[in-house]
Amino acid sequence: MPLLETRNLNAFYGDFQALYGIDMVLDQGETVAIIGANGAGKSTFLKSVAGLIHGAADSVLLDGVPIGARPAADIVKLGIALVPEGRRLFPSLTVKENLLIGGYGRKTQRPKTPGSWTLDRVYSLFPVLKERRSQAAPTLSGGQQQMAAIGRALMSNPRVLLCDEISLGLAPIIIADIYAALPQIKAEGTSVVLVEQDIVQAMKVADRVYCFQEGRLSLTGRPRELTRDQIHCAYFGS
Amino acid sequence: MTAWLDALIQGLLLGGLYALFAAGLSLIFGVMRLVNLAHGDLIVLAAFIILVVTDRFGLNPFVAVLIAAPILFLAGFALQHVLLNRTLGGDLLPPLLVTFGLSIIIQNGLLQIFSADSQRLRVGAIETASIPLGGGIAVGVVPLLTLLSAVAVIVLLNFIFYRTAIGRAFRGTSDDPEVAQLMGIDHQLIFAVAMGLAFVVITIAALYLGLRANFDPSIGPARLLYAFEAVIIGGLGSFWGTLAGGIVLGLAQTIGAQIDPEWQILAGHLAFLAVLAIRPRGLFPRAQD
Repeated sequence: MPLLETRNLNAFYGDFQALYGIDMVLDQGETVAIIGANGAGKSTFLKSVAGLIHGAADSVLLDGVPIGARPAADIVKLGIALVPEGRRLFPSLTVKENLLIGGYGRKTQRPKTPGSWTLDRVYSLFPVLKERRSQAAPTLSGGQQQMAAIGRALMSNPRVLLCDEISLGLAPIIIADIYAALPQIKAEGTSVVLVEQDIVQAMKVADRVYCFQEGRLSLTGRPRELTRDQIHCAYFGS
Repeated sequence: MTAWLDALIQGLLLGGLYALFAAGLSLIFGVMRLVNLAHGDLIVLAAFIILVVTDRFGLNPFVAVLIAAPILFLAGFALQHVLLNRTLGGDLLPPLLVTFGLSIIIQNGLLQIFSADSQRLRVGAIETASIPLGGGIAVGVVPLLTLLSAVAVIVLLNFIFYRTAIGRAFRGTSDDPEVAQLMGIDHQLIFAVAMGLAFVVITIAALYLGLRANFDPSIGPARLLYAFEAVIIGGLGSFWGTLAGGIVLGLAQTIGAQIDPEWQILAGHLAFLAVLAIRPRGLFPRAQD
């Protein structure tokens, strides 16, 4: 049984349909990348899985259990954490408080919980956060904010980490720093879904790639098996 | 000279009462961005509840507060969960209209049940007791307790907001309710807890309202006005600012009264307008707002 699965997932903003029948599978320990042009529905997909947008109850399954109708506050307690697009740290909280609030719903240890993230372990993953821990979140640079947003999500001890455009607007050297943390996160048994515009980066780290085009799945496969032309076609339309 | 010094001390103490009126309003606005127009009437309602508990069980009002506070916490929690949460998240108008309606309902409900007669909470000799400071100046025990309680409430609220997990949840939800959900925070529940907490502060304010002066069902809106002015003078989002705002208002009123007794209320409003003109964001605004 896959860890996380979406079956025929549709998503709407009012009357506008943003996703059409998305089927995705994430197995334990995998990294899946979702690529696609702006407006293809990638962020909407992550928001649907995280419970911020609701489709049919049985369109999102965790361990085979339908969770599509559960509110976002429950989803994170079940083990799915979202690093939202644009970081969205809490501006009136310090870096340390932003990390602590990430563990808010973590009252009891769930069975099958991978590793137990603590402040110290997040600090050792991103040492700069320790130096900046008492600063207000908005005073951090973009890359540091991204690290704090990832650390905040890790504090919930997620089984599935959903990352929305974590390299957007960052310098390549910073992106490399952030991606360097991925193996350590995965070593805790956390599986990862990445939404990424940087196709090269996505292909490097992903076990499988899903390409979205105008709300529909246009291509899926393992990075090595996909050709440049296939991706070009799926990304931009033929 | 003694008269002026006395006016300053009495103003400081009066400021404690206004800070208590304002602390609950500040809390509610800080967490939910809700302007509660029924705040003054809720203080009066809480005073009547303390009065009923006092009369029914023959208790000292200071003890009655301990019984009234949990009841009012639950009432605040329920009010937010059942009614006010439905008004939040979109337009600014629905919460204003609903709390304005609530204000009218509370005033008329109290009038129906308790009549328009003035009431007072009785605590015996302590009501008139005072501590002489020398030089012909004395401070009343109840006014002093009022100020000390206000400081204690502000310290406690600051502790909750800045040192506890639920406080982080209050501030995080206030910053970004959507992302707060991603942290496992049920923002509707958090709002209800915040309102419950505000109702406990309202109960404490009501105790001193009833100890210091007469009250009747019609005086709520004026308390709302003082609370509102104290919050604005202090700067939105800062509890210490709210305490300072209450004290500025209290000082302005007693100084005004010292000049001419008829100027007391007017002097408070003028001080409020002066602060608005000179520092529109208040004396101690929160950096992010």
